[in-house]
Formats: sequence, structure tokens, C-alpha cells
Amino acid sequence: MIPLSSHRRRAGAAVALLAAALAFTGCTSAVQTATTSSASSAPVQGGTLAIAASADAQPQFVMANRAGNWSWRRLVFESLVVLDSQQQPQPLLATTWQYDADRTQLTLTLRDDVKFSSGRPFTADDVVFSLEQAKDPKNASQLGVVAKNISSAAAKDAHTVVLQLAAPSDSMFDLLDLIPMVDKDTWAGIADGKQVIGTGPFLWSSWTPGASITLKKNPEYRDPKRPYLDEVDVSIITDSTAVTSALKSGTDQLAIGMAQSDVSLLKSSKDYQLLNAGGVFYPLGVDVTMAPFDKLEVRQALSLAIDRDRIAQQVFGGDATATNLWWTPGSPGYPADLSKSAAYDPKKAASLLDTAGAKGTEITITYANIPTMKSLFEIVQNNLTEAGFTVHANALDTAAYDKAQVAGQLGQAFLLLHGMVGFSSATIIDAMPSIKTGNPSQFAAPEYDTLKAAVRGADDSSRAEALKKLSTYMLDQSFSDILTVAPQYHVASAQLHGVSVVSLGSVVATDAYLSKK
Amino acid sequence: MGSYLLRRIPSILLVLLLTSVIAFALPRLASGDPATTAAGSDASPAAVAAIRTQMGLDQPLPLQYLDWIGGVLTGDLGQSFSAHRSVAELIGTRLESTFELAAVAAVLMIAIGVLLGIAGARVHGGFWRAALDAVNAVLLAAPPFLTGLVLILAFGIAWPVLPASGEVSLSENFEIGIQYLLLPAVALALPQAAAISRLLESSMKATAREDFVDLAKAKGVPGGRIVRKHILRNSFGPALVTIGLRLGELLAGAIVVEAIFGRHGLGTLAITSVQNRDYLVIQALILGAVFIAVIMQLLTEIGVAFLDPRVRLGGAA
Amino acid sequence: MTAQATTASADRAPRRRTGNPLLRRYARAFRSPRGVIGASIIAVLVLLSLLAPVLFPGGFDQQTRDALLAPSLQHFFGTDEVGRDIFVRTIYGARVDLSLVFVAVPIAAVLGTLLGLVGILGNAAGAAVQRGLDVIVGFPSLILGISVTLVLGAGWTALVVALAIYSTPAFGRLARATLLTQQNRDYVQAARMLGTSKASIMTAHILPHTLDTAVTQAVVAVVSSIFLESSLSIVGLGIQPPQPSLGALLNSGARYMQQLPSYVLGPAAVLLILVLGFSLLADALNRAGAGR
Repeated sequence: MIPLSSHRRRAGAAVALLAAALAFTGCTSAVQTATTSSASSAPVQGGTLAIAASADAQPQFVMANRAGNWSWRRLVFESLVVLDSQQQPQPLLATTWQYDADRTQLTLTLRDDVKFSSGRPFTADDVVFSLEQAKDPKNASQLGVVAKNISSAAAKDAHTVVLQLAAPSDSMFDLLDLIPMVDKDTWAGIADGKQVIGTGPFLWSSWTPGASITLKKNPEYRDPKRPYLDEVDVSIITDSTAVTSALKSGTDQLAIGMAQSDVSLLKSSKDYQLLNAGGVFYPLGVDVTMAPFDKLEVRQALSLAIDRDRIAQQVFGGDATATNLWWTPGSPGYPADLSKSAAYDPKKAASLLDTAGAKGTEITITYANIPTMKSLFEIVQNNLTEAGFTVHANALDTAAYDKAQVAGQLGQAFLLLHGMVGFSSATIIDAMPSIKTGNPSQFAAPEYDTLKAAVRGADDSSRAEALKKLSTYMLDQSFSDILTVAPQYHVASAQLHGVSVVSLGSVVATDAYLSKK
Repeated sequence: MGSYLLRRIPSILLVLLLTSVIAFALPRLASGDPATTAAGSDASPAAVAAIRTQMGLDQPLPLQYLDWIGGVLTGDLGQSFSAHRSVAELIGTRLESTFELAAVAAVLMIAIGVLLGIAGARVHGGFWRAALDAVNAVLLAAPPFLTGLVLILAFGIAWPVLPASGEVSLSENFEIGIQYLLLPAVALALPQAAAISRLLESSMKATAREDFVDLAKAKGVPGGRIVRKHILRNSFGPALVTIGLRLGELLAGAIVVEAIFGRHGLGTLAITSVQNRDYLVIQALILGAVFIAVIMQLLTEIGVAFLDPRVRLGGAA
Repeated sequence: MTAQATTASADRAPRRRTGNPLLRRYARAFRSPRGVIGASIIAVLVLLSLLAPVLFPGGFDQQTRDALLAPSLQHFFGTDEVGRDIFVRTIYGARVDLSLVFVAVPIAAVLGTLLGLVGILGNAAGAAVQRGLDVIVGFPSLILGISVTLVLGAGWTALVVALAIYSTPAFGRLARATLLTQQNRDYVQAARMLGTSKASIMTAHILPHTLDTAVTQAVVAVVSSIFLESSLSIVGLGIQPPQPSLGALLNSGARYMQQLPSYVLGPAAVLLILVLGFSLLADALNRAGAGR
């Protein structure tokens, strides 16, 4: 139609493209070519570790176990003991500990060479202060109940603490492992993150909320040869696919909060290592005061209707335990023979439902709108529909979900998640929201309390028996059904050495270093 | 033009006032509030109530609104409930990131869109027509997050020539910074470019049929000059309106693109603020976004009047 | 040339009082190759969607243990992470998306265009309406969508409302731009001087021009709406599971892109075909409308 000097135009475009390409090759590349590192290497001094984390820091909640704090909490703070892989306490800030005869008094001896990064020496008074903070509901510690069991804490001298317990508790070392030793001078203002003072190998340098955290090497750390790293930069990336991209493109060397489906793909890769970071319990709970779940048969039907194997396979890539028990698998006293009774029997479930006259009942399942819970819901609603229920979804975003949980208004049925794999059973019965006193299932009974008390105060000789009795009772009552227990992983590139994960997800980088590329 | 701008001020203020009311009310209509988010899901109702009083959220709503508006007018945007920092500080740290992404994406969007639009207006049949249609449809149908993921896989992981995560601001280091911006900006720009090209093409074809173009052709004006001086200039009016609208879409798309590429901009701030029900941050972001949109609308109107003398600036505001 | 067309139709008008000149022009569109292809594509997809419960009586939630299978004759796009046929879910997803856009976009188009043309009554009225639309335009679309969904509760209704609100201003602005451009043209001034009523100026002169850009905008609106729905799915506020939508499928598929590319490519291809169909149809309508 319109005759145009197209040749000139096309030539011009080509020249422009060529020029751009030439200009590009001239610049420095922003991408560092990543190569697989050699196998063994001596620790390398210096370097910056880049971490991609999916949740933002919450410095005012270091007394609790919060995902946003995993990347930095044990770099800046330390606790009295560390639980090893057998869940036995190892010394950290405390060197020795001793119970008295009836296990109501615990005496701890502390290291004498520890200083806060402000310069002030760490003493027994700081232990007393920190344990007080653990009791305070404002600090939202999951182990607040365990801390409240300490009726008094006193500093016998600068490096000895005596704890008086209201009753013998099998949870003390879970507490002493989780609770960080904080600085009483700066604790009150910790919420805005301007000053976060601990005894750890790194200093809290800066925090841009929702974006990044910078930690620098603590030159005054008690071990002059540690840490190896100069700096740790945490980038907060809320989208789990973006966390994966950050790790795989080499931008970051450690990823916290990767989607389970992506983690399972990297399991056999030489370029990445999976760090066990505890795990999560996924229960399906029901309100025993609301129809149809006030009928025991209907609750039992629920448990039989669910295909736990398929959940373990399809939601967690096969890397999950299809169990129905609330305790850390393999923990002392774990009733292994009971956990095999998690049967999948849709026909029996359907007939139980029929007999109870509840076939076709409409139920609403409330859950938090995150990818894992959504996948869980998809399978659960499919199973329950097959058994004869009519299922409706009530997906709430995190804020609405928290509100519902606090108000105890989760509805008839709800899918929860508790990152508590690693806690002892005695701790779990008081810390796990699904089963503790005041649970959203509204389940309470004197027998339940008695059985729980037995576990709470158990020792090595009585633990297995008490736990078995409690588990049998809870399985019969079926007010909370564990669908699966899935391990949780942080993923590191093969270049990163010497890093470990403790306290249900917190990273320890005291001995960490990056091998040369 | 000066008097035109002056006369527009009351209507701009009206828009901002309306927006402030909606921005204030909307987040509060949703279930959950900053107190529950701060207290956590294991808190007791009493603890949550205590935190709520501390945050001033139990005051009557009109009072809270007036407090906020008063603050805004004096330059105090308030304090973030979840980050314990001033809202202005939070926004300030993220502003540059989003601005750079939007700027680079806008340039790409306009360049690609105009080129494709002109090409579309020229090409009339056969293979190239079909090819252009296909390209246009593919670009139009490519959601930014999908394009972004494909680009990350292709150029960030499989053949790593460009960074797939993080950011370096252009003011810090232009050479490196632009490499961080390239993939996300392309992902953002493509669908908008396709939309612009379609509108420009149809607008150009309509203008090409007008009398004055026939006249120019009859006078023997060379083709290139016809396109530049007559067609392009006169068909750019609706295209400019579209560009203005597309810029708004760009900012909206930036929210998701920022999330995928691990950039820390206003988009990710908006999402986390909604998730945390951080009222004051949400309110400030909405007000700011509308304000920018209003300014862009103003610039668009001035631009349209400049290009098409038949549209008188003052006559129809 | 448009002036000639006007006088020509004015000549014809007394003979054809019942035939709507607008409809006649647009009918021509369906005879051009683009119109035919575009309309057929849309027709096929609409038909498939409507017939989905008949063609795939098992529904969209038939979960099995065969997760993430590669595409085969049994499963054209393969199976998803809980063993459902992705092709079946894509068709059901298209069904949901088409139901959303066929309700939301026309509402937005009519509402928006009417609001945009309010300016014919007077400049102050037109300007006031534009200010109202400005508020919506400036609102970040995802925040708008999230807010509406949080208030109304996630689901189909909330999405229709959110998409309609979101798409309206664009139609309003374009209608107003056309109004302003055409209002001052010679032939409109001439018509006014002849004493033609404002209503007939609207229908005979201004509306056809508005429709041209509105039709093109409708295609863009359809696509933007599907994108907005998919963004809302990313933050979990789109169509609720187990119901699929194209956006939700794209979202889930993207997470499995390396393991099973067909999971995302299948729905993306269907979306592409959908967009192509609407684009071709819009082009055909545009050309017919412009009188060539």
C-alpha cells in the first residue's frame, strides 16, 4: 500500500542489533560461572555466604521457633545446650548439668569465657533473664509451658544457675536447646531490629524488613579461629519457585523454604546437599463439639478414609512417613508397632459413615492457603468425597487463618501444620496446638490429662509405656489425625561446607566455609 | 497549558480523597488485622486484644482515618505494624528497585510495541502477515510470570548468561545492574508491547484511509514521510492512551515479576503487607499508586492534545 | 471518505428503516477468512467447554496414583501431581475462564463505554466520571483483586466482580478519547448544525468509532482478565481447588516445568489458541467496521 524504503529501515535495525551485541560482550558478566567444587578442601578463611530465605526475620520472636529466624538466630545467639542427632544434650554455653534425686532441681555450670557483642560478659543472671522471657506470653515461645514449669531460677554465682521445677519434666533439654541467651540491656528494643545483641560468632549488622539481613563476623568471638566466613547475607524471597531459581542460578549458596517438589528433584544431585532441618506434622483435626464429628464412628471413618501413602508419595515425593502418631519418629519411647495401624480402608470408612447415618454430610475444611496445604487438601477432599462426605473448601490466607486459630474458630474440620519434629514427646504434648490443652478440636477429658501427665514426667524407664498408653487412647478418640510426617530440608550448594542445622531449623555457621570455585 | 493544569487540581484532589477513603476501608474489611499477625497463631485472645490496643486499632474508625490523613498531609505516613519502621523508610528502600524495573520495561514495551505496530500496518498478506499475527498472539498470551520462569530456566540456569535472581541498582553499578534488569523487564514488557502494537496498527490503518493521506500521496510525498509525519502522528492519540494504561498494567505485573526474580521492590512489599494486614503500608502504597496514575493520565492528555491539534486541551477536560 | 459514507447511508436510510447499518457492517466480518477462522476457534473452544461434562463425565477431579505421567494417547497432556488428566482439567479450566470473561468483560465494556460517553451530556459530567474511573485505574490491579476477594470470599462471584471493576476504566477512557476526537470533527459539527439530536449523533457517528477501539480493547481485556485470575491464583485467591482454571493450571504447571513441560505447555497452548481466536475475530470486526 504505502511504498516504504524498507531496505534502509531493515539495514538500520540490523546495525543497531549488532552494535548492541558488541557492546554487551564488552561488559563484565553479572553471572559467575559456577563449577562443581572438588571433594575435600581445607577450611577457607573469609568469604560471604548468600542465603535465600522465604520468610522475613522476626527478631522480637527469637524465643519461639519461627521460620523467618532460622537463617540468623544461631549465628547471632547461642543457647545453653545443643541436641545432637540422638536428641541428647551437648554442652554449648553450659558445660555441665546435674539433676537432684527427685528431678525437681537442675543445676547448670556455665562457660566463663563468653561475652556479648556489646562487650559485657555473659553470666548466670543472663540465663535467669532469658528463661523469664521464655515464660512471657508476649514472646510467643512454643515452649512457654515448659518454661513456666520452672518455679524459680537463681544465680548461685556468676557461672552457676539453679533451676527449681514445679514437677519433674522430660522437656527441660528441649527448652535449654531452643531458648537463646539474650542481652537484658537491649532486649526491650529488639522489635525494630536496630540492635540485636547476642554471644554468637556473627554480629547483626543491618536489616531491611522484608528484603535482606546482613550479618558480619564477630571479631570478639570467644574462639579466635571462628567463624571462617566474613559475612552472611540473607535475601528474603517469599516465592518458593524464586528461592529455587536463586539457588540454581548460583546467586545464593543456601536455600531455606524451597518447595518440597523442587527439593526432591535435587536429592541425587552432586551439586547440592540436603540438610535435614527437622520436619513437620500435618494433622487433620475435627471439632468434637460440632456435628457430624461429635459421633465417634464418624471420626474413625475419617481416619480410615485417607490414603496416607498417596499423600506421602504425591505431595512429598515419597520422602515422608505415612504415620498417624504425633511424636518424632525414632525418638525415645516411640511406639513403632502402633504407627503401622494407619490403614487405608475406604470401604470400611464408607460403611461406618452409613451406619452412623452421616452419608452425604456436608463438611467444610479450613486450611491455610499455601501450596503444600493446598495439595494436601486436594487429596483429602478427594478421599473424603469417595467415602461419602460432601466437602467444601475454606482456604484462608495466613492472617485470616491466624485470626481463626486464635479465636478458636477453625470450623468443623481443619488442616494444620506443626514444625515440631525434633521435640521430645513430653514437649510435644504441651507445645503442639492440635493436641495440647485448649486445642481447636475442643477435646478435653480427665483421662486424657492423666495420661498426658504420665508422659510429661516420665524418665527413661517409664517413657515407652506411658507413651504407648497415651497414643492408643488418642488413636481411639480420633479427634486429630496425623496424615503424614514429612522431613524438612534446607538445600546447600556443594561449595558450602561445615554448616549444620539445629533446634528445628536454625542454621549454625560457626564452622562454615565456602570452598574455592 | 498553565491554566489547564491549574483547573485540573481540584479534580485531582477529589480523586485522591476518594482513594484515601477506599484505601483506608478496604483492608479493614478483610478478616484478620495486624494485631493477630503480630501476636502469632498461638496467642491467647487476651494477648491479641492487648496488642490491638497498643497499636491504636480499637479507636473509632473515623478517628483513625483522620489521624492517618492528618499525618499524610504533614508528611508522616505512619509506622509499619509488622516491621516497626516508618512507612516512608520502608517504601523509600524499595522505590528505586521498582522504578528501575518499570522504566526499563516501559522503554522495551514502547519500542517493541511501536515497531511491531508499524510493521503490522505495512504488511498485508501472505507469510509475513501470518507470522506477525502468530508472534502477536503468542506475546499477548504470555503471562509475565510464565515468560519470566521460561527466561529464568533458559538464560539463568540452562545457559547462564544473565542473573536470574536478586538485583543491583543502576545507580550503584550500571553495567551489572542492567543485566539484572533485562530478564524481568522483558518478561514484563512483552504482553503489553503486543497490546500496544495491536492498537497502533488498527489506529494507523484507520488513519491511512483518511482524506489527508490520500492527498499527500497524490502530491507525491515519499512513503516514509507519509508514515512519519502524517499517519503516525495522527494515529498516536489512542496509542498514547493505551501506553498510559499499559504502564499501569506494567506496574501491576511488576508485583509478580518481582516475586519470581527475587527482587525487593514495592510489589513484594505490597503483597507481604496485605498478608500481614499492615494497614498503613497498604494505604500508603495505594494512595501513591493512584497518584502516579493520575499524573500519567495528565501527561497522556497533554500528549494527545500535542499530537492532535483537533483536540483542544482546555475544551474537554 | 467517512463523510461520503455518512451521506451515502443518509441517502439509503429512507429505504431500509429496519436494517441496522451497524449489524450489516459487522456481518461482513464473518465472511472474511480471519473472521471465519477466529470465530471457528472460539466456537470450538466454547463448544468443548459446554460439552465438557458430557465428553468427560468423570469430572475434573479423578485422582489416581499415576502422578506426572508423560503425554500419551490416554492423557494428551499427561497427568498432574495427584494423577488427574491434565487435558481434561484444561478443558474444564477453559470452561471456568470463559464463563468468567464472557460475563465480566461485556459488563465492563458496556458499563465502561457508557460511562465514557457521559461526556456527550456535558464536559463537567464527563470529567467527573473520568475521575471516578481514575481511582480504579490507579489501584494496583492485584491489590484490587485481592481486596475484593478477601471481602467477598474467594470464588467465582468475587472474581467476576473483581474482573469487571478492573476492566471497566479502560473502556471508559477509550470511549472518552474517541468522543473528544470525533466531537470536534467537521461532520459532527455539521450534523449538529443541521439540528440532529445528540442521541442520533451518538449512534450514527460516535458509537461506531467507539466500537472499533472497544472491540480491540475487549480482546485485550479478555487476556488481562485471565492474567489477573492467574495472578490471584498465585496468591491463592483464584478459583478454589479442586476446580481448575487456566490460571491455576499455568501456576501449578510452572512449578513442574522441568519434570513435565506439557503440564504448563498444554494449558498455555490452549490459552494461546483462545487468544488467537479472539484476536482474529477482533481484527475482522475492525476491518468490517472501518468500511473496507
